[in-house]
Amino acid sequence: MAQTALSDLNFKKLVKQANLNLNADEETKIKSQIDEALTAVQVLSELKTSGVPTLDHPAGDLKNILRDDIVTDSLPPDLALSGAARSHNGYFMTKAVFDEST
Amino acid sequence: MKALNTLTITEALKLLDKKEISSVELTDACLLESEKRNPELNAYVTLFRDDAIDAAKRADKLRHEGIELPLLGIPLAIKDNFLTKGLRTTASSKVLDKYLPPYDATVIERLKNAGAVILGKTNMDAWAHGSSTETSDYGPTKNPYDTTKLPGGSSGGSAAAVAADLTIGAIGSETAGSIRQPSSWCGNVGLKPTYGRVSRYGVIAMGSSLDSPGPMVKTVDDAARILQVIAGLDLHDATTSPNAVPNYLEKLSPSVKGLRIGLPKEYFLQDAQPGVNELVKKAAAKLAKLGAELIEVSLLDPKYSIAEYTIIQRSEVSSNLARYDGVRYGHDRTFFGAEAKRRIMLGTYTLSSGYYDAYYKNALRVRTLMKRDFDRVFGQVDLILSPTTPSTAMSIGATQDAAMFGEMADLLAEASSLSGLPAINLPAGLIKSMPIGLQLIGNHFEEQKIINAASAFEQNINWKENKL
Repeated sequence: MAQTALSDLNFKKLVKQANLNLNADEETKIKSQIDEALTAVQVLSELKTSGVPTLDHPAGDLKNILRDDIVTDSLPPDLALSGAARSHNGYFMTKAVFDEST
Repeated sequence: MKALNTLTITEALKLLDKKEISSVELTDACLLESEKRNPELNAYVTLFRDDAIDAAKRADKLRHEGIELPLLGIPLAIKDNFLTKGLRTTASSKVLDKYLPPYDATVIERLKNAGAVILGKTNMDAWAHGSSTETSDYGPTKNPYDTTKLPGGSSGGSAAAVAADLTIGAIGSETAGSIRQPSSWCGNVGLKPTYGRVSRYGVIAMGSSLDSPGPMVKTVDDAARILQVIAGLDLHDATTSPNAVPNYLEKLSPSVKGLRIGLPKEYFLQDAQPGVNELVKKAAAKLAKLGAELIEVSLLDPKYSIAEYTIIQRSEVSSNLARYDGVRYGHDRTFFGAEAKRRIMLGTYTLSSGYYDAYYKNALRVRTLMKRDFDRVFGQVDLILSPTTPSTAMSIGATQDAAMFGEMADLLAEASSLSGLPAINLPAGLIKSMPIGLQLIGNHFEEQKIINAASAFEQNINWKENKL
């Protein structure tokens, strides 16, 4: 299997990919716990998996599970927006992606 | 008459139908006990007294009008990862502290349509990440048998509520062990159905290829009653099975005569708590006296299950928790607890470019090996029996800083969950006054076989007399 220890550079990239904010203590703790977990899962290399197909889920042969093309009521907008911290004219509000320089 | 909150669902239905009690009386009895003991046990995150009494009144009115429904007037506690329309749902995380869902989970809709009354939402490991309830942002739940000990998890609140008679039945969910393990630690019956037998729509997702809602109750009959109501195809959940749902109660035949029951030697761990293997084998021997044939079988070592489940579950967790951004509902990601952050981080890694093949894809291949392993053994036996957990309930604080506590605690449940198999925990005995359970694992959609064997066990064995 792949490498077991995360370099500091990989870890910071991982934090960004995971869209999390970690303080310094959390970074240290979680990094060592991930290293511990990655070491623990190396045991799977004892099993021969070459040529074995993957099993994404145990629900059997599911393919093109569709419903009839019938229009039904869906969640009304006011209910859909009811949990939003900020909304405007029927839209969810979020942090700007672009700033004035872009 | 015994105290109403100590009734089973089956007993309560008989008394309700004879009009010897009302649903309001029954519901109020559960609420009073819950309100009295919850400060100590912390089994509930939220109790809904007014809504529950209103629902109980409606149930009594329907019964008076001659309406018959399978769970009419029965109060139930619901794990707090099931969406309940307009009623606070938190998954025991501060991210969803004030969340009021705009719709019911399918399981909830079916329970309501069957006449059930919702008492409240039970405590759990936050996001179902754990096997202790200690990762809850609302504090751990205490085991009613010994309040210095954990109830297990992640459905720990539901398990404790049933064990302490705060409710006469509860709903939990299992990704790998989260119904069976707390049921073992709290002396309950907990049924994890086949993956796809019960809809996951409206259940806050943990591992989408694993999550299975199910009943946590006092008796096997009660488990069958609830399964009957919640099982079946759901057009909202594409992974639910179109297989017809049998009438589990009509077909209930408590017998193990001629049943071949496999005992996998790898599941009777050498480092299990002293007494666990002995008690479970003693219980199994009683099944042999009832006509079962016990056969030693061999399954993949559970050490592989821990690693396998860690990768698949945490990968799916990182994907499922990506939706919590505080935009459409809830608070933002700064509100995640330590366990959630840990699991998201590992899952992001195992799914990321350059590591996906080595970790996640390889784990999906190992999953095939696990399923083939069970297919092979089910060619030799009808059911598999083993301890549910390698120990009785651990002390509060046991999980602190243990990076993989959840995965380690559930090592005897993981392989069957990864393979989508149904299983039941039955209380099997007491070690130093703490319950320990045994599990019966069946092949896909063989819940009836499990229920029949479990019922035979329950009717013929007084588990509290099987003690060390």
